[in-house]
Formats: sequence, structure tokens, C-alpha cells
Amino acid sequence: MAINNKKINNKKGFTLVEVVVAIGMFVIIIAASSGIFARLFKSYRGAKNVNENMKNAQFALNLMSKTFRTSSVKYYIAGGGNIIVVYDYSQSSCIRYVFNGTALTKANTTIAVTESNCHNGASFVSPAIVMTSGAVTGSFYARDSRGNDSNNSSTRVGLVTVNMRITSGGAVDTGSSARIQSTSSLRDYTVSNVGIDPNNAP
Amino acid sequence: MFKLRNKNKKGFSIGEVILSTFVLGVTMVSVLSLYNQGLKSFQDERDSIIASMLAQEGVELARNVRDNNWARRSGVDDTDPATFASFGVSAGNTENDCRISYNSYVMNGEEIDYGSGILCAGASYALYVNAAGFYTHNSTGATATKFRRAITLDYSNSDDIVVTSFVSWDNGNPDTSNCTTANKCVFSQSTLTNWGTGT
Repeated sequence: MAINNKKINNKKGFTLVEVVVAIGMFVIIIAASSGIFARLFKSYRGAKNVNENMKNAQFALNLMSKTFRTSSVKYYIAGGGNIIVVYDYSQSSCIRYVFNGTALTKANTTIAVTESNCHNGASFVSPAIVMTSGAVTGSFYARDSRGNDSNNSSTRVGLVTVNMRITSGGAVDTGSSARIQSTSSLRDYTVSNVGIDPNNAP
Repeated sequence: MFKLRNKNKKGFSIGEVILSTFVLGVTMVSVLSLYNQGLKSFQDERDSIIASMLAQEGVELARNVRDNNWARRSGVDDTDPATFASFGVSAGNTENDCRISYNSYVMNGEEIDYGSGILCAGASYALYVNAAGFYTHNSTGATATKFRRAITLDYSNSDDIVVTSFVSWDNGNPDTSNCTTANKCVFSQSTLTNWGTGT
């Protein structure tokens, strides 16, 4: 019996002081490292959001490039701007793309218009369709295709370059971002009278 | 005897403390590095998408130069300018250090950004982002990026030019002989044919 009592005495738990000190140390270590973890989680989430938003933006960019190839540029801002209006011959539609400060939007005209009536002042469907997710800004750089029979040196094949800057947006905007860019060379030779010999039509 | 045992069982030994701290440290560091790896692969994935789009753009810009040369001819029988004028490569040759920007090829008094057509001499491959937000080789008023684009032109066959556009994202020039995602390089290639040299 006596021996058993001694044994129990030996197995006594931690004292209050020991527990308090241990918990204190634990808290200090966790507190010190939680900042690092929080930062890491935040940038991880931010990067993940940017990647997801970038995939949407890339899809939108590919759709636009496909449209541009079969279109004529009807309105653009020289040197680069946030609006472009194109007439897509494959769909016979007049389309306006706008970077409105937070997203890329697309709008067709409210009624079908001819190529000559397709310009920035036409009546477009409102609200426009939002094509991107997250926070997206960007601009269009364009040269329209131009046929000039009297002065062939001013004849040219158009081109549209689009850039987009994608940030994660929302509550977890960590400042991480991605910028993508794509160029389409236009194929509207015949309709823009590009490369057509007036005396020797094909 | 009991006193001694009691003394021995009091607190942790320095060895135990060091060992437990070490175990805790290793666990934390490994968890941290796991997340860090994830973060890095996100960034790498992002950069490879940007790079592959820039590589495709290089080919498309060269195509636009070819198309413009053809468009500027006065008639279908005309051969002037040559289909591959402003390409920076002469027939039968291969150029390995060329570059072109989105607004390089500018005519009729519109803004001229960086030379004209494709430049194949003294080329710096670095891409900058200008004030309007576009990737360009012109460093004026622009911020540097980690991306570099080099274009090679193979004009050894007189009927076409093989355009290959390399983009790297590790702040080094693209390795045109060994361009793989493992060394942070992607490329895009297209053959441009010699259009309409008369009937």
C-alpha cells in the first residue's frame, strides 16, 4: 500500500505554473507564426483568384480575336483607348467592346445595322454583357483596314491589339496581378477594298 | 532513492525541449514550404499563359507585315513592295535575333514607336509595359517586365519564311535551341508564304 501511494505521488501531473508557462509559450509561438501563415494564405488565395480570373479573361480575349479577324474596325481611339466598335461580317452584327474600369463588356446594336451605320454613336444594348470576372482593366490599339486605289501607299491591312490587366478583386485583393495581350491581323481585304486592283478585279 | 527519482522526473530535460522544438519547427517549415510551392506554381502557370500569348502575338505581327506588303501593291501583277519587305532578312538567309512590337509597323504619318517592321540587328528582347498598358520593346516611359521575346526568321526557301516566336519569363534571353517550359520558355511557329507575286 505504501509503495502504491509513493508511485501515485511520483506520477503527479503538471503544476499550475508549468501549465501556465507552457500555454504562454505556445501562444507566443503561434502568435509569432500566425502572421506569416496569414500572409501566405492571403497571397495564395490572391494568386488563385488571379489565375481563375485570367482564364476567363483569356477566353474572352480568344473570343474577341476570333471576332476581330472577320470584322472591320469602325471606331477606335488612336494610340490606345478603352472602346472599340467593329462590324463582324460573319454574323452581320455591329459590336462594341468597352473596358468600363472594372470589366470588359460587349454589346450588340439594339437593331441590326448595316456596316456603314456601325459606329460608336449607334444604339447599343444596355446593360452590356460582362465578359470577365474579377477586376479587369485594359485598352485597345487598332489600325483599320483601308483600301486606297488612288494612292496605294496608304492602303493597309488593319490590326487590333488588346491588353488586359487582371487583379483578384473583391475582399482578398492582394495586389497581385497579371497582364495579357493579344493581336489580331484583320482579314477584311475585299470589303475594305484592300489589295484590289480597280483595273484588274479578281 | 525516491528523492533522486523525483528530481529526475521534474520538468523536461534540455534535450527533450530542443528535440520537441526541432520537431515543431520542421513541421511548420514543411507546411510553409508546401504553400510556397503552391504559390510558385500558380505564378509559373500564370507566366506561361502570358508568355504563350505573347509568342502567338509575335507571329501574328509578322503576318500583318507580310499582309501589308501585299496590300500596298498597285495591282495584282505588281511585285513591289516585295512580300517580305521590312522583314529584316534577305532571301536565302536565316536571322535569329529579331523583334517586333505591336505598333512597330506604322505608315502614313501615324505614330512611330520603334522602328518599322521587323528589326534584326542589335536586338534587345526585353519587353516593357508602356503607359497605355501594352507590352512593347520600346523602353521609353515604360516599366520593365520579366518577359523577353525573340523572333527567328528562316528565309532559306524562297517561297516562304518560317517565323518562330520565342518568349521567356525568367529575365534571361529565350534559349532558341532548347525552348521548353522547364527552362521557362515557350514558342509559337508559323510559315508565311510568298503571296501574289504576279500572275
